[in-house]
Amino acid sequence: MGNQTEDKQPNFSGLKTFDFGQNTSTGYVCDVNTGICGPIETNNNNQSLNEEK
Amino acid sequence: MKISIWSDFVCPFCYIGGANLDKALKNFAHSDEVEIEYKSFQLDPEASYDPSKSYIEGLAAKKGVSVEEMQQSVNQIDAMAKTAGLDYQFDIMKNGDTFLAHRVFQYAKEQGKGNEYYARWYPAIFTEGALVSDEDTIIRISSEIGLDADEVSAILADPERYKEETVNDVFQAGQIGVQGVPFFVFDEKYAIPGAQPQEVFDQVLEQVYSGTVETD
Repeated sequence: MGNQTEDKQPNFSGLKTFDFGQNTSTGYVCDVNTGICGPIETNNNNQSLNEEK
Repeated sequence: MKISIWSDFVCPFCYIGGANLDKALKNFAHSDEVEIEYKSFQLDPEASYDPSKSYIEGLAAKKGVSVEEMQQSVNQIDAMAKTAGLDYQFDIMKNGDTFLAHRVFQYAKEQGKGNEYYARWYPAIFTEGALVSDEDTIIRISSEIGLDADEVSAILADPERYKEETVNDVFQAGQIGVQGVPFFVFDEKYAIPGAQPQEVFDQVLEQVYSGTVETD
């Protein structure tokens, strides 16, 4: 499972969500609000890496 | 490269996503330069084990859907698990509160065994039918990866120990907008929500390592 880090204070500011450039979902999550485990639309996230260019 | 993973032990897609990432890492030429850090997340802090209901019956009741509908969802998850090379035994699975197991996870992490701890819990829950909220089971799982059983017992007996670390992980997830798990963050910059196929992780590892993240 790779090495393990003990970094206690990571900085996740400016986090961007990968944009796979596809219209279909490839990701599946268990949602904490709905309790539903199912597919997600990865392109529906507010931020994409396009914003960084 | 560092990969941070928010996950919960009872999350079926977390095991699948983690397995797919592991497979991608085996193909990745620079896997020895990759650090993985698991983080605590609680999907359902009010979950409890009801021995009178099967796993599927319990989920169906909680979500307010029929057992047949829940069975269809489970069939889809089962198919994905098989594709990932995992053996899910829904007939013996048990749902439960994961907070105690997460407190001990934080201790395991401190001991440099956090990833092993996660890696042992997944098959214990999804293949062997272990109950995540059972203290004896937590002690057994912890011992199996080399943690001190007496220390784990002491942690379980004191509700304050490793509570803050656990709550901080969950709080941090909320701060960065995590709505569901698994949630992967590469180098503290690039997020990937959800269990993805190995091919996606193959792609992401190469792009992040080379600094050539594709944006369409």
